[in-house]
Parts: sequence; structure tokens; C-alpha cells
Amino acid sequence: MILILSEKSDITTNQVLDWCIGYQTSVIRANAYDLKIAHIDYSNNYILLKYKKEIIKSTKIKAVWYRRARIKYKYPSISIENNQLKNRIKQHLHEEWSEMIRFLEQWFKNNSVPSIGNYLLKDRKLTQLSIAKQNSLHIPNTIITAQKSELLLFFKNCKKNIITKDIGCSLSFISDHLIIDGYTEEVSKEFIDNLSDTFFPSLFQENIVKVYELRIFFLKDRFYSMAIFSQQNEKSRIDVRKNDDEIPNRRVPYQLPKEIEHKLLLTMKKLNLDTGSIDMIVDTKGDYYFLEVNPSGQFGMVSSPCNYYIERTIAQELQQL
Amino acid sequence: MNNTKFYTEFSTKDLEKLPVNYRMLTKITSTSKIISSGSENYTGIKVKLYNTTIVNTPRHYSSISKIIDFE
Repeated sequence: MILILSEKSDITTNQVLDWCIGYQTSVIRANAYDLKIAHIDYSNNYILLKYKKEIIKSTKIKAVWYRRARIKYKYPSISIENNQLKNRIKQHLHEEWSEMIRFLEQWFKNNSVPSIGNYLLKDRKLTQLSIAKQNSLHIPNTIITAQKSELLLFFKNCKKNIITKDIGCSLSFISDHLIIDGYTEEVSKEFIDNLSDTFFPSLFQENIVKVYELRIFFLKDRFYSMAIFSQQNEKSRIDVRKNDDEIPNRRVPYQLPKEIEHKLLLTMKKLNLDTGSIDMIVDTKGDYYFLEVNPSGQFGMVSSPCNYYIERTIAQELQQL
Repeated sequence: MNNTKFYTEFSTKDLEKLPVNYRMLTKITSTSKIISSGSENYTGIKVKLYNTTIVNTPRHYSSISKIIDFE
């Protein structure tokens, strides 16, 4: 039996499942609240998992795909009046639960259960940039600063062409009638002039003048690359996620130079990632710049326009693990 | 949907303490209620199968569901 840890809204999990059903692979998909740890048996070395209403022994699981896994628990509401204690209890329950989840992943590793992805690894842009540079990949000039004076100097050094983006993940908020999303944005001199002398530490990078950008899905040493001609559209020029539905960006399959693949491979190994969605850009001189890798990034937007059938490959991979 | 470019409801005092990019958060408003696939009240797609059974499936955008007659 193969365990897929995902989230309800992940479309690509559905598509991989379609292939798994076609291959008659025994598979269970657990979204956030679907899986519970019911019992840990140290004497017999197994964990009993409660999947919806079913009890599954961890020894029955032959492979795991950590897709967009966040195993959650609905913590009980506490009726005591001391709010500080109440918050501390909530935090403590979360720590207790997280410890069990950490153990579950460790149990799979200790018992050599093969996997795709990793439960605990999250986006770590800062570390990724540093490791990519160590492996001789170009990265944009980058600073994190909380000082306006430093930012002004960086702006000058980058020929007055810089962007800002989140240090970790983009802020995303959806309520009944409002959506708020953080994107990569250009920073002008006027914008900097209006800032206070100090602010919350923020990330700034030189804005590389690109010819096209690359979305690369990495799976077990293989690269599935796609070029996106996003710079030709004012909407998506700075952030490709601001796709223009009326005039969509041209997206084509792309073959990375072997040298870049080798450097990316070393970077992914060092980051301990066997899968991930890599963002790169190619500038007017033909230099390749590494931006970041999302360990559980989407790949449908690469698979479909390039006819890579990545969903089928993952289903086959899971079957063969 | 109404795209008003940036969210501007933070006070000047708040912005001084927040990351710089909080001044450029994209704001989209809608007069109707936004239901995303992650929303609690998302109930999936109603699919009528060939045998006339109606199923309510969370397997939205599944490629298998594409071959099912939605009529």
C-alpha cells in the first residue's frame, strides 16, 4: 500500500491518483485531518494509523509520497479562563502532536520505506541561495536589511533596478470577499524615500533583466524544464504568477545545458531534496540565475504545456519504489 | 472581481513595523462570496453519471471526471 500525504485542494494529487487507479496500485490519500496516530508499539516496532475510520499498520505501507503533507489535529477547546495558560496549552498540544508526526517520518526512514519528497523540509530560500552559490550557480545580488540607508546603497549598487519579495513563503489570505496575495514587486527610489528609517527585516534582490524564465520540475535526478516568455507581458514581467488570462505567456519545453543540470543536481543533493520545483531565469547574456526551489511546488503547469506526463511518471515511480 | 492593485488598509504606524512588501500586497475584492477549493463550504463538483446517479465529488479537475458527461 502506498501512502500519499497531500491536501484537499491539490489538483495534481488527483491526477497522479488517476494514473495509480489505472495501474491498479493500492494507494491511500490522506489530506490534513484524515490521518491520526492511534498507537505506537515499541515492542513490535509498528505504528497504528487511523485513516478516516480504518486502522492501518505502518508495516503495510510500502512507499510514501510526501506531496503537500501537513498532518493536522483538531485540538480541543479548553474552557479555563486564564488566557495565557490556555494559549500555552494549545502550543504544548501542538508540540506534542508535531513530535509524533516527526517520529512517524523517522519510523518510515528507519524501516527503509522508500519515499518521494520530505515531510519536514519547507521552503528555505535563504539556505537555497547560499547552497546554489556554493555550487557555482549564479544568484541575483541579495540583501536582507531593516535599514533604509542600507537599502538605498543596495539600490544604487544594483543600478537602481531592484525587487522585493518574501523571505520565506508569500503571504496569502482568502476570506469571503477578499483575497490578499504577496508577489515579487519592483522597488523604486520614490518607494524607498517613503519608507521609515527602519522596518521589519525584508529581502531585496537585483532585478535581473531576463530573456525568459524557467520552471524546472526535478524528480529523482531527472529534470523536466519549461521556458516561459513572461517578460513580454507587463502583467507578468516581474512575477510570472500574475499570469494574463487573456494573453497567456508562451510556454515551451526546454533542454537545460548539461553543466547547469549538474550544478542543480549538486544543489538538490546538498539540500537533501529528491523532488522540487525550481525557479530560474536566463538573462540577456545567456547566464542562468537560480532563484529558489519549492520542495512541494506545483508541476501541472510544467507537465501539461510540455506534454511531459509527470503525473504518470510519479505514479510509475510510486509503483516501483 | 475587482483588482484594486495594493492593499492599503495598514496604518502608517503598522507599516513601519512590517516587512516592506506589505505595502505592495495585491488586493482582489469580489461582490459575491469567494469559494475556493480550500474553502470549508466547498462541496466539490456535482457529476451526473451515465447511469443517472448524481455524485458530489471532491475530485475536482480530475482528468477522469473530464470524460464523464456533465449533462
